[in-house]
Amino acid sequence: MSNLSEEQLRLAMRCSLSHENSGVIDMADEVMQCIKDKRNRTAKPALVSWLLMAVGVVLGICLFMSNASWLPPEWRWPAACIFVSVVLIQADRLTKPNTAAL
Amino acid sequence: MQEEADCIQRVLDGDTNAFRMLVDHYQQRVYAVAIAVLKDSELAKEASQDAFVKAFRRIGSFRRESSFSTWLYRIATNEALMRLRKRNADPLIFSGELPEGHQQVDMGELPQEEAAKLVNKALMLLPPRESLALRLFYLEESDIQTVSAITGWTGSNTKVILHRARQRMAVVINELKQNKHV
Repeated sequence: MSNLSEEQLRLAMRCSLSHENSGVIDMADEVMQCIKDKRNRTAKPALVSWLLMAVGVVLGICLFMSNASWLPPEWRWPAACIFVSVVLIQADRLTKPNTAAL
Repeated sequence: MQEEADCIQRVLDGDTNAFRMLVDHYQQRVYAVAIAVLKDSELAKEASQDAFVKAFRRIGSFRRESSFSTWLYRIATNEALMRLRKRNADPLIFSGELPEGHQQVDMGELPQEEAAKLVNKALMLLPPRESLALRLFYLEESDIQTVSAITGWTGSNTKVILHRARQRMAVVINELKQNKHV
């Protein structure tokens, strides 16, 4: 049996990586631009999430302080805690960079 | 090697522009891995770019247990396979059978430049798994363990795939030569 000789194949494979043979164009500029764009894009959700978190905490406090008739007094603490927790979890999720979407 | 380690450290210290040197150094090889899987230059370029962006974002998780190149090729391979999966249901299964018998092929008479072009054309015609195995094997130190680490295949599986890939490469190159595709 014989396939390509190992040395021939190795040489040809190495040579095939060169610019002229592989057809690749320089992508460094695009990659660096992409990295900077992604960085800017992830900064926005962080700001939005801080705002959301602040609104959520205020709403949670209002819920706790309110004398709403639909909420029994013994449920005020748990309801406020659950509300604030959900808001905090969502805010935390938003602040983390979404690498899966890159 | 030391320069590469310095570069990685600078990126870790927050110098984004230091990453450019790594892109410059590895872009051809990352692209070669991507096109071996995808067989489409546009898709391969997209996959390569995304691989670099992912590498940049995850460089903090690079533990230096393997070389940076192995780590980067793994990201590039996954990125290419993910794109291939979007096109095909099961990208790495190839139903085509190898022709009976083994073929002789001699590229010794060809200038190296032409042999390289022939190899690139042949890689485009090989099933993704085999072209990926060949590309990875000859990228750096031709090491089965490294190919296994990048692809997640077992060592023996990698050997089998490489063996078949070389056989099929010989068949394809002979056909290309007969058809004067060089």
